[in-house]
Amino acid sequence: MFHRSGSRLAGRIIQTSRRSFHDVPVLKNQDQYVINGIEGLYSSHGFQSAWINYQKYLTLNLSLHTSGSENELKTPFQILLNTAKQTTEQHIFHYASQAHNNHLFMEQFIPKSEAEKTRPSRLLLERLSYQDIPDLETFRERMLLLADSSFGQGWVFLVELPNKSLKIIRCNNDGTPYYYGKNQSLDLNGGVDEGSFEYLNGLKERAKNDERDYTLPILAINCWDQAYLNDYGVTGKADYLSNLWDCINWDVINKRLFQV
Amino acid sequence: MKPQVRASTVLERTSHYLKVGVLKEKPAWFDVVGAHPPILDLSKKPKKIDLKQTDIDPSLKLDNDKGSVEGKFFKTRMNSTDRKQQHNAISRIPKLQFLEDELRDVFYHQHPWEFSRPKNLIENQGDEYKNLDWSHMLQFTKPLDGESVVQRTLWILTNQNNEININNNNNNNESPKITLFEAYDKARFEFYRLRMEEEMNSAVSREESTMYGAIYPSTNLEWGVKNEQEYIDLWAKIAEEKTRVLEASRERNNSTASGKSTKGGETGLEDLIDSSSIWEQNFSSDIAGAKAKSKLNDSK
Amino acid sequence: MFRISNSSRRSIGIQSSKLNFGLSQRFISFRLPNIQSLETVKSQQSDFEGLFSNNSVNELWFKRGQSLVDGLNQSLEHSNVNSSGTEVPNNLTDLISSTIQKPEYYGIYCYSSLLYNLQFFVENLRPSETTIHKVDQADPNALLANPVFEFVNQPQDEDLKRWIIDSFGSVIEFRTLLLNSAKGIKGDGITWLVAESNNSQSTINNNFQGGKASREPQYVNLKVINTYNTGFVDDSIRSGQVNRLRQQKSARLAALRSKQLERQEKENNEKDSTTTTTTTTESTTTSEEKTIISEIEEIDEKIDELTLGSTEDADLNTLYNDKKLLPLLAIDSSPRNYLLDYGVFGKQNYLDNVWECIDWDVVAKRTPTRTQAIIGSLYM
Repeated sequence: MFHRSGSRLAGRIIQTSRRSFHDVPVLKNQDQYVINGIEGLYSSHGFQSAWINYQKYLTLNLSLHTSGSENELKTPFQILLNTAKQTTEQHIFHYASQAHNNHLFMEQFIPKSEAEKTRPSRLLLERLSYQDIPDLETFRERMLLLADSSFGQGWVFLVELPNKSLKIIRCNNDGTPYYYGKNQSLDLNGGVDEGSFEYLNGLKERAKNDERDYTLPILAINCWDQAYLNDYGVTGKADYLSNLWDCINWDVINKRLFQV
Repeated sequence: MKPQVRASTVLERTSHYLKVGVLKEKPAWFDVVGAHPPILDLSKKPKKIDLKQTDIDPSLKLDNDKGSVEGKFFKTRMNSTDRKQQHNAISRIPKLQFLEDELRDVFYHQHPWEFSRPKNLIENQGDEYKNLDWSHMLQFTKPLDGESVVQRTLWILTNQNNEININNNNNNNESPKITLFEAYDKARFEFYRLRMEEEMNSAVSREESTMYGAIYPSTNLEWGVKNEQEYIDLWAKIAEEKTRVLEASRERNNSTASGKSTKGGETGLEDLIDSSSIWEQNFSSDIAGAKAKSKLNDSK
Repeated sequence: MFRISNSSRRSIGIQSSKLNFGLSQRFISFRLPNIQSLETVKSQQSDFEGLFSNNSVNELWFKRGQSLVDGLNQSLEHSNVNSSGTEVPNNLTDLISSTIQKPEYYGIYCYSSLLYNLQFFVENLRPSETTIHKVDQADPNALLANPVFEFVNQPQDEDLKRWIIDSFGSVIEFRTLLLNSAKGIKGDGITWLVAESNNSQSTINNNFQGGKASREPQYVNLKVINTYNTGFVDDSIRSGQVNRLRQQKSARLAALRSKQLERQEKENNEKDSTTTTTTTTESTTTSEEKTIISEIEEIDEKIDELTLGSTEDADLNTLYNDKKLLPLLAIDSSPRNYLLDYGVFGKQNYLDNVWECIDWDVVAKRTPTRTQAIIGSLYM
């Protein structure tokens, strides 16, 4: 029998089962950035390449590969968690993880003149000091050195562990901070040393015990060519990283930290 | 099959039920459907209902308007010739035939494993297919599957031939038109290439992330077997119960009607399943033809 | 500018200041090689016809190449290879094979491997007029483009072509496999066409009976493989690293176990002679030994005689089996190569164009003499 509550329920079902496809999220002040770029970091062309086009590339690929599947209506974050353990869906993981990371990354920036007015919160600095990072300058050096000294594509994250301590990690390629099995913090392409081997065994052990991961990213640095090649050239990674630091909107970062 | 007319008369029937009191409460959809009654008549009509009766000339109709009933005979039942012709090919309900269906049939018989890919049947409007551009096989809003091959084949068939026509007008050369088979093959090979590409994409991604220290708790096969097992366990319980019921009823039948009815039921079921298709028909006839030919050759 | 104050081997200083060297110098420094086709592009301010714009050639070869060379020279300076008295190999392949197994020379290995790969890639390219796509920024619809079936460039050398057809079925099948492999790479990486020897490197080295001829690797198959980031193509050099570490670990554990057995025997003997209670013997075992024992027990628990090895074990045993691989052709599909000229959406266009620009003469020159498989010839 159709009751009123039933029809309401039906309405909800219709809404959630509506099919659609992935699209590029709109950033705050995006229109302005498209015209002027982000002062101190990207030119107009550089911003369009790193965000508008690259994000479009990722979301279109997500649509292309998830259309008609269970992942069709999920957000990139859900898709990356959903596919992280699937050995045959790693290409979908790539697009989802990149789309999520790149969004996380691009949200962090404002023009340099405005960025100068923001400061990391005392809470953040305090937490960093527990990790043997006494001041902002040391923090900057640690993050950027790790970003600059690694070969190939990847990400550098400041992450918050479940016990609320902070940690700097490097994720190679499309690695995600949310799941230890897909952190991709090693580079096994060259020689493999004993440390990496033991680390890998440790990961396998954790996966075997079905251990969960509650790590959350606080600050992301994009080391992919797509992020800087247009404005800084093939050899311009160091300049890009240095500029990037000056444009961080610390208000965004402060909010990401767990507040007591 | 009997034409289904009942679906479109749901409003009439429901209002009748309400009037006579079969239904006590108005269904939630009643007013809405009342405001927007179904306009589609789903029943299929034979091509000619009455063979002998031709359309009346409209001008005659004008004359007959007043008092035309008097002095005329009306036919009230069919005579023997009418009855004979009632089951003629032209009197029967026409079978809907589409080229697409034949292509689908051929494709899915050549690629039976394509059936194992799940298909999402939800549509927002029902006319999404209209927005698709088949000048390329990949679509953002539609997964790559057999339907893509079918649509792409038709696109190649119409557009390529148009192109050839234009060229012919220019050159006055007689180049052969692209046949259905050629168009289908072209689409099919594009399909293979895209599938290969996706498979390689997935394999390379996995290898690449492994080289950066990614680990997987289980392979896809193990994962699949594990998931399947959950359902098999459930099913095993149900199946056990159903078998018991079946055996019990069989015993009862045995005691009453010496088990004849169950046997008859089984054979009847086999007759009902129609496994013939264009693909099989064509090929079985081809094979038969080839065999006959070889026999002829042998005898020579 | 942030300073790289850390002087670890991994640090890369793009803006390196030249250090003065003392007397200890059998110092080897590398230089960017001259590639004729690229030098012409630079001197004539022209484009690399059919593949790269002038700017891209400058960025990808001259700027990046130079920065890799600088990085390599600097890593050589930082690590004490030069002063340690050992001879530093003066070619890249030897440098790679001598550093890959040594994590302390990570930097040297990475730079030399990247440099080798880059040079290998640009050397098998030539300008081409038969481009499939324009060298231009691609739009989002490029993602939907139909696969390319028509191509012009093909290996001319008859033997090489025959070998490709025998290994892959046909030239178009080979092209599809090669370009699909390249397209699948998401980050940095190179797709190679390699000749695979039938024997593993260790068999070749150990086989003294057959004289010199049998010690030469014999190449039977052609294969397509991918390497990622700083990976090096030759399997006999990089193979079995994880295996080696695993063996080391199991050897160490076996040593521990035998030690523990000895101890137990000793304890038993003691028990027989002095009839001390078990509680006292337990108290004598130190905490360190306890951890060892618990470790061994833990591992004993894990060893399950009934289960087969994992797929990973199978991978290790079959994929990296120490076979000598000789690279013939490299295609670099790292993002930097197509981002400048073709844009974010242009990877497929770039790869289609790369195929047209493959210099098959160079590839043919790199091709070793083919050894027909004995089993294959039996059936022929």
